[in-house]
Amino acid sequence: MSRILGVVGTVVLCYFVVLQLYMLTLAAIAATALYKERMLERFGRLDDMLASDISPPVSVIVPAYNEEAGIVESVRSIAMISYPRVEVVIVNDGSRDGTLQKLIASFKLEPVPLPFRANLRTSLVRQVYHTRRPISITVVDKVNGGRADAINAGINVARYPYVMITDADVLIDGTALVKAMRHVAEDRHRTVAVGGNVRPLNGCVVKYGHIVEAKVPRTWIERWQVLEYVRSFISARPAWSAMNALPLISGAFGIFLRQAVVEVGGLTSGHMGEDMDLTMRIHRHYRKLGRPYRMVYAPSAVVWTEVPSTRAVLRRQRIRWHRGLMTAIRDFRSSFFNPRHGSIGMIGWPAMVLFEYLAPIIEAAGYIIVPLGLILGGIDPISALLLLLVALLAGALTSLAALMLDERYGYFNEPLEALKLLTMVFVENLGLRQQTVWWRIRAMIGGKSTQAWGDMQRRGVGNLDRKQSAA
Amino acid sequence: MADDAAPVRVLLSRHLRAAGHEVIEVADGMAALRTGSEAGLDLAVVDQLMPGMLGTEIIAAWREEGLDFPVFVLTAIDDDDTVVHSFELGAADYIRKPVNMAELTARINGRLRDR
Amino acid sequence: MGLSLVTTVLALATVVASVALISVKLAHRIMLKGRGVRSAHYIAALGEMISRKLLPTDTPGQWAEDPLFGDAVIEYRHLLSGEEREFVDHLIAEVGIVDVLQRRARRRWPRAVRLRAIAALVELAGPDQVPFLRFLLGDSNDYVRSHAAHGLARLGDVASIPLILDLATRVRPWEAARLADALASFDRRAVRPINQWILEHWHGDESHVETVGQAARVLGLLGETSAETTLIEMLETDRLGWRVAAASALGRIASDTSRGALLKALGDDSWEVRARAVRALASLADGSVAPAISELLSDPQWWVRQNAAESLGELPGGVAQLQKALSSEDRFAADAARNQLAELRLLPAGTDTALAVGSREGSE
Repeated sequence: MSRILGVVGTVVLCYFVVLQLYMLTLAAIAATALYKERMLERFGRLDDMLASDISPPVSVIVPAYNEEAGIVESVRSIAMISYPRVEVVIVNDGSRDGTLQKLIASFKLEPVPLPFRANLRTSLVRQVYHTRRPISITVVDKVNGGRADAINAGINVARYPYVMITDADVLIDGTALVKAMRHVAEDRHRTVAVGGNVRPLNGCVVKYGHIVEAKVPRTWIERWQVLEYVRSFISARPAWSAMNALPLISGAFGIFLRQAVVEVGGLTSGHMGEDMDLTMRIHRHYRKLGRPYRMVYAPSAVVWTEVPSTRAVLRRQRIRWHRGLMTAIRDFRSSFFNPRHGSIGMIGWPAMVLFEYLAPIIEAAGYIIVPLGLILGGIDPISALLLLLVALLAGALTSLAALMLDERYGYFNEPLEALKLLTMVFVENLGLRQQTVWWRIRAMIGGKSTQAWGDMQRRGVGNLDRKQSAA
Repeated sequence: MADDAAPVRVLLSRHLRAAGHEVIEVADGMAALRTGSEAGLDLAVVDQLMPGMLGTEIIAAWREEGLDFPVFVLTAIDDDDTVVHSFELGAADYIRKPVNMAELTARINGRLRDR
Repeated sequence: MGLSLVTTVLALATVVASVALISVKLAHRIMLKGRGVRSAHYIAALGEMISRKLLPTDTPGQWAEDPLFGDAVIEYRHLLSGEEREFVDHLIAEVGIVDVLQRRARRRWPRAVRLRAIAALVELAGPDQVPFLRFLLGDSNDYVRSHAAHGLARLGDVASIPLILDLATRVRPWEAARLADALASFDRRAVRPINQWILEHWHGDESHVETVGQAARVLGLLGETSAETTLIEMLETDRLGWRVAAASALGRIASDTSRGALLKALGDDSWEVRARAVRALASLADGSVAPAISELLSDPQWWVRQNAAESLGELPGGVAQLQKALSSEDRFAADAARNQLAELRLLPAGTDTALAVGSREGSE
């Protein structure tokens, strides 16, 4: 008995060492990718590219459900994005507040029998509204069908070859679209999707729809998410992107070739991880057809989104995410170590399965087995402690590397702010981490599923000023 | 005088102050809107592309409030849409960047004399 | 034993990384603050000098060494025209900033310093820097090369055009496109040498083929009629890249001479050429091409149909063609027309808005 415990315990600990070493490798690959990116942005004369005629037109799709509070501000901020040819398509997904009325009044929209091709099946569209000033804005008013359904309706109406999918409560940096579309212009025949850098808005000072100052938020739970986002978007994704093995393009900011989304049948209604599902289906589709393609991540194309600030909301979000991941794991099991699926099949997806999906299970097992093994004497306490330390330290190094790489983007330059995040690097192992492990296990056990429109209580981009001054 | 780029703001303010006018400098759209609504201006110069609000949006807001002082719009060299749109909204004149300072000051002084 | 060594190393690394992170933040903040102060100082001082037309009498040498001063000068130079710009140019010469930049552009400097100096140099250089910029065209760094090309274009050094095009044949497509962008910032005097280069390399190898396409794009951006014959000839070759580039370029030039060739290109095998030919014909603003364009409302490709409908919306007599297409038996043509009429607010009330689902080709 104790021998079995010993072997299993050591395997668990070794798994953690491998997991952390994998993350550290990603950080190293990301460092090179980000350096190249940075040089290109500083010295690549990207403005000239914008001025010439090669920037492809983009439709920005904003699904909205009960967004009365901030919808006007957020459409205004999109209209101000600097990009040569862009239209906005807002989909009012059967809101029960004044979202539609506010839009009509603010932009002087008129009901237009604007025909569109229903390439993707959606719930009933009641009316289409349109204006051409300040830019082309189309509002699709439809019966409630959930976020994925709303986006599909937006894709039907979109007229341009590229669609940018975002959310109404997301604050888009004015240069984000240019910076993301640069990747398309670079290799127009192969690029089918570009993902952007999503950062937590919590704690930031917002004025007139712009981030004036990025600050570290006040609660531990928000701070931890800041660190988590930095790790994911600064050190993991650039590395995946460099290998063309991105398993996920965030729903808050993803640009897709419209045709690619239509070909895979649009977003899956009711899926809890619809963004990962879409990304993976596009991968599979192109691999199957044998067409050369690439999906890239653009670290300097930044959008800001509010993350949960209370334990209860975070819990719901994490359970939903993990359920989404579980569905995806089931749907795309054929990609797992599938050489025909190339880098996503051999690197991206196996890493997702082994290090994202299995991690909570193995970690939870570790919390039971290792102490048990120590008590029963199957595990040598010294080597167990050392293995644990190695894993923790490698994890801390990954976080530190991510924070260091993030320094270039200049958001948390105050040493005091940095110190808060630095503390978080070590503190996260004392409870927060175990908490999310538990939530993920809960997600696997089952229970009632959460609603289709996510868990955030929306305050609206325009009202953030007030919130910040009150804070 | 509203422009987020310092040089035009600095130079124009100097010229106008030298000519005996009082100048308020602002660097973003919302500040420009507020100043126009509250300060009782004789004339405004707004840059089209500023953080916060577009120049044309600011003109529209002022006109809606019933303020009818002349407004000059600064636009990029090839931005004809803005020019047309700002005239529709009742802008007094437009100036393209790069700016010819002598011409701009002369036009503004002329406008202020007319009033 | 090995494990404890690893642990120690990692622990040390973590401590070092933590300390490094905080120090970098601290250093960065101090640097940024200093920059902000200096920048504001330069902007104010330059404003003073320019409005009074006063050249600096003291400490200019030290200023010239500061890249931020260069940035401030460039900003003023970009935003001003006429007398003030002349004064800024005079000031640039007087302060000796170009000499400093040229010194920093040499290869012994770190890459970032060097690139920064070159980026400023190409904005501020005078005609006497042409030989140096041409020398930089041969640099091993691609950013240096494309900056040099832009500098030469800004100075209007027409004699460098063949050099830049030759360079474009030897580099990656992305860089070749950036070099072409540089050529587009020349004025119309560039048309003749570019045209000549195309003719000289008409039968070149694969690397020339690409660049000839890029050169055609530039001819379009320059918008000069004298190169039309070449572009029309390109439109009739069997090279797809050339036809695409030539069709867009002719659309930008928009002169009647190309009408016949563009009408013929409406029947091209490639939808990319057809879509561009439609747009190009629309830019001629001549109603007589409307019937020919309305044929393409039935094109197999969605993008061609869309462009045909949009073009008809702009052309005199085009709306009549769209209305006629409404009752077309081809549902795709009717859809395209309906879409455009709705956009123009000309669609009769009560028209059904659902379009045919599916596409005419396997891929749209």
